[in-house]
Amino acid sequence: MIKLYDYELSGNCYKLRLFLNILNVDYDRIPVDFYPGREHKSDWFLQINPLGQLPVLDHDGFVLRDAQAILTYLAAKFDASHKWYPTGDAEILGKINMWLSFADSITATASAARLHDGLFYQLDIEAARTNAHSLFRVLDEHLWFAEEQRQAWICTDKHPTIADIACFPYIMLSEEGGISRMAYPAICRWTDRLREIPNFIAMSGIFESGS
Amino acid sequence: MTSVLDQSFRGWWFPVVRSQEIGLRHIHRSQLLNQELAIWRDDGGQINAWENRCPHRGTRLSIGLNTGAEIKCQYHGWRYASQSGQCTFIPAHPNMEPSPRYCVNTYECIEKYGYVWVRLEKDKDKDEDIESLFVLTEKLSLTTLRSVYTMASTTRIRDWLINNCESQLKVNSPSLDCSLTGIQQHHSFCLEALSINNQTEKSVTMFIYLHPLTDDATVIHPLLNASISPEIRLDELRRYNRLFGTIRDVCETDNV
Ligand SMILES: N[C@@H](CCC(=O)N[C@@H](CS)C(=O)NCC(=O)O)C(=O)O
Ligand code: FES
Repeated sequence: MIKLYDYELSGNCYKLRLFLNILNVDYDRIPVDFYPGREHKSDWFLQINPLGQLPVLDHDGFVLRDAQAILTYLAAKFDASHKWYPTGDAEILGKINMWLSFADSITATASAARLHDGLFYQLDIEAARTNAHSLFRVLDEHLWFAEEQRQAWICTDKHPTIADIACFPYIMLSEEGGISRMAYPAICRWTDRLREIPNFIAMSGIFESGS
Repeated sequence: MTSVLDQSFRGWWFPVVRSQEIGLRHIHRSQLLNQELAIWRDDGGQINAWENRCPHRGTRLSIGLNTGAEIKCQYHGWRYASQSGQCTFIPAHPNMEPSPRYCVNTYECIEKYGYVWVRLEKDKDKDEDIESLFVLTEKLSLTTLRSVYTMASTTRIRDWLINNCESQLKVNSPSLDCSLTGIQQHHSFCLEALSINNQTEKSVTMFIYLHPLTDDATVIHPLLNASISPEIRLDELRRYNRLFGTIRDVCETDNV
């Protein structure tokens, strides 16, 4: 059985709920009271993840942390089509991993800004927002040129990959951290496409439609 | 110095977004002279430029749903008809005909030269024919390049292009393989320039439209007065994107 250590309002947890739903994989949610309980820093949770971070996946005792790592595991394990993470294609795999790392940078900036605004975290908010804008600018340009080549997704033409899933949540939640997406129209069109994926599910702050 | 928010500019036509970027069922969020806009196309192809504000409780319409004939607000599901902006349905009162007061503020918009053009107000004194307001009057073959969003005022960008671009562009980015010369101003928001490919030494005229989002943010819409053959299209688009990306970076850093 799959267990997901989960917090409802976390974008990193949501990307796993979203992907599990797309793949139609059953799992149990183990809610962790991230706020205000700080349960991710509790003794019992640090035994599971010494970094004290969500999400964590436990598949029959095989324990994995980091949302991007978990996406690769889930895709390789449960996606029979091999389209979400084409393990046989070196180039695409390289590109996907490049953008998975980019997704973690989005967490470090756009998600941090949201924690500051929503949950009163102490951090350099101006730096977080400025750096998020720099990343969004890079992605918007990438997606604009992708569209010019009839490529709908971050790494691939027709079928999305886990790179799209990994980048999506904290981009959609960016306004909660005071980061407007007005200047990134290609990103907005891509988020429209992403929400058309069969079995797409929303979360608080992310709607089924709209940019 | 006149602010871009000078009321008189509300009677001007501005290009706001490339037509092809307003695809089926999308809602494009923009701004013009500080006014937030929701721009969308109905399934019949008609374009709408609306105030980005639901008349019910002020929610941004751009987070709503484009149903193909109406926009449905994300919050309480009120629906607004293409073109008129009139509310057609209120889910909480399904049997009531919505009052005419529940109407989105709509703006005039047209599609031309590959862009959606918007003006916020009719100029009462001189209600000119739309055609006469544009610089391009002849039928030309045009290519819309990537629009570049810039965190700098329209005045700043215009002044830099006119006074510094020719002499400083190379200094700022020695590896750029194209440059701009002969920059002249058609009006406050439209420049014309000769773009030179440093390798082939070929030159092409281009129009540079400046679209003020706010007092300190501007979109640069570069419009090439030429067609690009498909084999070199991508490379050319990248080249111009680098050129205007450089201009953006310069105007953003020395923003005084
Ligand atoms: N690289 C990790 C980052 C995870 C992360 O930052 N999780 C947040 C919640 S969304 C967290 O637990 N933060 C607490 C902390 O870092 O102390 C991933 O992608 O899973
Ligand atoms: S705010 Fe739009 S329907 Fe209520």
